[in-house]
Amino acid sequence: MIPSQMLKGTLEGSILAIISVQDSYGYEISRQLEKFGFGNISEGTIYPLLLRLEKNGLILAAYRESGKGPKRKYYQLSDPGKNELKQFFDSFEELDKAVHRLLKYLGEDNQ
Amino acid sequence: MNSKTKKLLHENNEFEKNLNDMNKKSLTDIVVYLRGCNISEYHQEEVRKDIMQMVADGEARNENMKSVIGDDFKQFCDEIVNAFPPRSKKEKILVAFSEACSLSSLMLGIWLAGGILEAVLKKTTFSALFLTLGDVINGLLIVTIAIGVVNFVCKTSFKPVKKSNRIKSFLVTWVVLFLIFASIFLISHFLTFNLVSIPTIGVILLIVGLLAVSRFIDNVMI
Repeated sequence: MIPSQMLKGTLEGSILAIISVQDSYGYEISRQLEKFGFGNISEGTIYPLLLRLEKNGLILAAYRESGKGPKRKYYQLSDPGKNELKQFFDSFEELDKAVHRLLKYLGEDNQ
Repeated sequence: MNSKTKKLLHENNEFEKNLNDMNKKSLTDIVVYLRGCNISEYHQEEVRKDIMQMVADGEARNENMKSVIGDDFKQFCDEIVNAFPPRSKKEKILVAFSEACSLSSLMLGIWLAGGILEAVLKKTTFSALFLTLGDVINGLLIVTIAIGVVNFVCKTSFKPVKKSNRIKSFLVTWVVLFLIFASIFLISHFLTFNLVSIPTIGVILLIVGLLAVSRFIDNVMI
């Protein structure tokens, strides 16, 4: 299980990444995150992040009819959101490289 | 409250009827808590609509509210409020001014109604509103207490009421209410210095003007 503090910094970027593939709604996003190994993240955790992304203009929201049940709020990536997603990937790649270099160094040191 | 917010409020009230009773109760706690937070009435209704959609979606999947939103409703609400950009100093001043206008018009309305009722009962004519120093101080006292009570109810909406505290709360409430009414009576009895007199038409124009200013700011602040 990924600690919540570690998740916090990456969830917004990961949500943008999921929305970039296809317009999506809260519950579907939480299921997608679970599918990719982020663990069981409730809509209650996702919603404030979606709200922040929407208020910052990184995603656009619109209510649409769903197949069954009530209307759902679908989110779509905006142009500033696309830039933000690119920045997230760049930053994460840098972090990923740094952590890998550290792990490699620790591995060599232990040998 | 502006017309856009009123429309959304009405839609939300209608939608809420479709939720099950347990979810309605939890939703009420959330809405009451949000009412006391520093976000506009329109944004409160916007968020309420989103949460109700989530809960209704959960009901369709046979999931309860805790599995949809999580165990900590207060934290959920706090994170929602933090998601909104903070209000600027200018916006805070405008909101406070709008609330002051709205409350002033309410107090003027109460004084006007009281004055007319008194004139009717005494079978005299009502030509102007006379406000004593005691009336003004009591007005401020009532408004301050009302704001305090509303804030207290909003901030404690998630706190369960312990059975053992019920008798204590009941007694405290009655003592506080007695002290408030005693203060109001004493203030109006002793501070009878006439502060201002406004002709009836002036009071009506003032009420309408204050409400218009408040409504205008509310429309601008969405």
